[in-house]
Amino acid sequence: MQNYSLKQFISVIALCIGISMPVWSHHILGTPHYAYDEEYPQTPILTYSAEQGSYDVNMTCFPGKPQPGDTTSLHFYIKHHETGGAFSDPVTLTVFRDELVGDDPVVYGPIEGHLEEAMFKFFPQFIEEANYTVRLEYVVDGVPWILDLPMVAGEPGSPWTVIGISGGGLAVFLIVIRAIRIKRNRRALRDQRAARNAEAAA
Amino acid sequence: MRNLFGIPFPLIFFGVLTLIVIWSESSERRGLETHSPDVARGNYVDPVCHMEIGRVRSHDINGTEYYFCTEICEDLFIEDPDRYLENICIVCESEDVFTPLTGNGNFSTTWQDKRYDFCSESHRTAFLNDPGGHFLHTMWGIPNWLYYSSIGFILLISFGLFEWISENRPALKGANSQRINLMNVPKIRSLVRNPLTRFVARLFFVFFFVVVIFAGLFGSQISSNNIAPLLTWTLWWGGLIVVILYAGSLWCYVCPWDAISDWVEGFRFWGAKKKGLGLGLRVPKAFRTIWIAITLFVILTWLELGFGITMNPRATAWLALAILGAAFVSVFIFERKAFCRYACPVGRIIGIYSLFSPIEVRAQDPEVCRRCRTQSCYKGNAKGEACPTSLYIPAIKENTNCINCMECAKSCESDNVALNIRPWGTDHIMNHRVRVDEAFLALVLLVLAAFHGLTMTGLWREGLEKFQTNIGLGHTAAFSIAMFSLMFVPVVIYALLIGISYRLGVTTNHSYGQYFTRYAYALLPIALFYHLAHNSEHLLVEGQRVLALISDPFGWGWNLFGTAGQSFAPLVTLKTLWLIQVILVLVGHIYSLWAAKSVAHGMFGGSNATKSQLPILAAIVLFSFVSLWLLKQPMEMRSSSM
Repeated sequence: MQNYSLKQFISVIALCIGISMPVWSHHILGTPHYAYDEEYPQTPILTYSAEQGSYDVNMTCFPGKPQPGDTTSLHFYIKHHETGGAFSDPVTLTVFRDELVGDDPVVYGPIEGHLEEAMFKFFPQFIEEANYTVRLEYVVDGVPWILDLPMVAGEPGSPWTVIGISGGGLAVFLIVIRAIRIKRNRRALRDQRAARNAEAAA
Repeated sequence: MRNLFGIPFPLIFFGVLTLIVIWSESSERRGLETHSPDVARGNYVDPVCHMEIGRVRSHDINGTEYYFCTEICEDLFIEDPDRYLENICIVCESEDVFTPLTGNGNFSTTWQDKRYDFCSESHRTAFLNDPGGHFLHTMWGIPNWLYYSSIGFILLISFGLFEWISENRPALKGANSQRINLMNVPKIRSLVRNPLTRFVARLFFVFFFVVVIFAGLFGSQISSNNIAPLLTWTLWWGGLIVVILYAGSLWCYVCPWDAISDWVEGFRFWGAKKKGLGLGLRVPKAFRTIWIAITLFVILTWLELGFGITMNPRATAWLALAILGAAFVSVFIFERKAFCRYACPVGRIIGIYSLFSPIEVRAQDPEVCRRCRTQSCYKGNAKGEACPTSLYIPAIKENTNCINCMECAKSCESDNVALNIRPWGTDHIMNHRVRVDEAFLALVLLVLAAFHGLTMTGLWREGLEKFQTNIGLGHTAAFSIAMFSLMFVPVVIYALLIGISYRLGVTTNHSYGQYFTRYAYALLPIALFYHLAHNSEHLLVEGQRVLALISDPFGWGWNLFGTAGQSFAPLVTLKTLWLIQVILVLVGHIYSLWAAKSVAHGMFGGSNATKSQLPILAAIVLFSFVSLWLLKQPMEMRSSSM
């Protein structure tokens, strides 16, 4: 068995501590910033940042690309530009499903959220494959602020589903038309035959 | 002299408009050539109204030249240049933009080689989702002098000159007898009768149809980068009215919806159909009206204006496919072209506007038809199909239901089908067949054409916002209530005026319904020419964008012809556009007066005609005033995204 010197032992420990440093750097001022990056094998988290008045707003969503039916964790970090202090009044969250035609229906909320561990937490569920708008509302010094952020569940942009359904419907329609024509031709033949037979009998 | 205002008039009119454009453009350019020749080629953005401009006026401030669409913008700019030079967020127009210079943040992006700053990340994201959609520009309406002189002209011609001229010049009615049969030209006749002619023409338009569908479904969903919205809503929909004015139902000859469904059901591309694959059922009697087409047209307008499908490539493609689906289902279930005749909103609009058009398909010699035993034009034969809209050539008295397919010209054994050129508005001055559903379509066209213009004004936007706030409903509900309420107001006014007219002409045997129906047709020229005036701004100010989009039709970053990403100046300046629009409205007004007079004389004759015509005259004047008032309003256009 090989003996290690104290110097070697300290070096190994220092190396271990050094390697662990990036873990700390995941959290800067309490804001996660995982990204869609090969270097990070975690499930991607969607992040948005915005600046409204004297506050910076950051939203994180896990999972970043929710599938229909997924319940997500939406976290909002609202910090003052200058003081860095977290916004402490309640905020309201509403989620709308974006409709091509007609009003956007509310699918979650409005729900009031309170500051919890320097952030506001919500857990909306995106049931359908669609585009959504996440609306955060809060009041600073009597001035209401509204922040709309886009969110996507599944791949609603793909037209293939509708094309497939329409194509299938069309195929069924053509089959039904063909079946009716065949039935109609048979009936005509039968009538002709019956008429001929009646003529012959007469 | 009579012929001067007959058959050649449409061409003379076109020539005069062209001369006006050349004169107006050259006079605008003349002032600039000494100033800055580069502007003639350029594409500049007016800092006041944000319109893309070319050959227009400029002003120098601190060594920098700024270019303006008209003196309205130039004067506003000179008055307060700082207001228009401030860096603002293009999404919310907030002056509170954050740039590296202010040290507050950096919400900026670059688009078409220009930097844009935003107030927040969410607005930068909103901009990047649809950059073109955020270039709202204001297009100034016609100036006061043009507006008031046009009103003066309308009053003068309506209550003075026109009455005098028409009373003393009955020759105006002689237009009915003027015809030139194009089928007498051997080359045109052989071209029309050749089955391949229509196939090639249809194929050409089917190609563009497929491009629109593909671009809409699979191309970029940023409407300014996708050719589908521009090709559909600006070039096709805008150009359709021009085609009707000069060639009637020519669109139906090449219509891709009809072509594709016809090819599939008939199982052949050209030549007469032997036996189709469909059921060939007769259309139930209750559905042999155009109420379905009217309803679809209202829904189409509701979708277009209420939900902005004109700015949505995928919605545009879905709509085109939905109409194809309807044509497809109809052709497989019903005989002939039931969809074209009763349900197609586009076809029925073309049909009723075609009463005015200078093209008609008629029997050349009714005596030949009387002797005909085969009736091939109606039943079809090996050379040509049965009339798709169930018309019997010698019985055609007006253009409404003819889709100009020219199958009758192929099937007629006696070569007795004429393709006539005639004066504008010929059907209007004849005592043509009238229908209640068509009369309502005429009113709906008048109302919705005006409503279309109204929705582009700031007044509408502000009014709708107030209405929405007051009644506490969402946008869709508020828009729908406002749209349907506004649709009814002009119809009610028209009904009241017809009531007065009915009272004044009470000595005749006509019912109120007959008054209502007959006079409604007289309003069609106003609707048609206002439609043209409105669409001319889309065609002439936005249409040139197709030059950039043909290089990258799907927004995939192609540059097929080297024009991708370039911007092109509008085809005409704003001043020229104003002149064109006002001339169109005035011409439509005169034709409506003429049509109303013909209706009145056809129904009553003598002094009763003049007396009972006065209320409808008031209606025509009122609708023309509304048309001019709409043209006077500044239009809020999102043309950069179209």
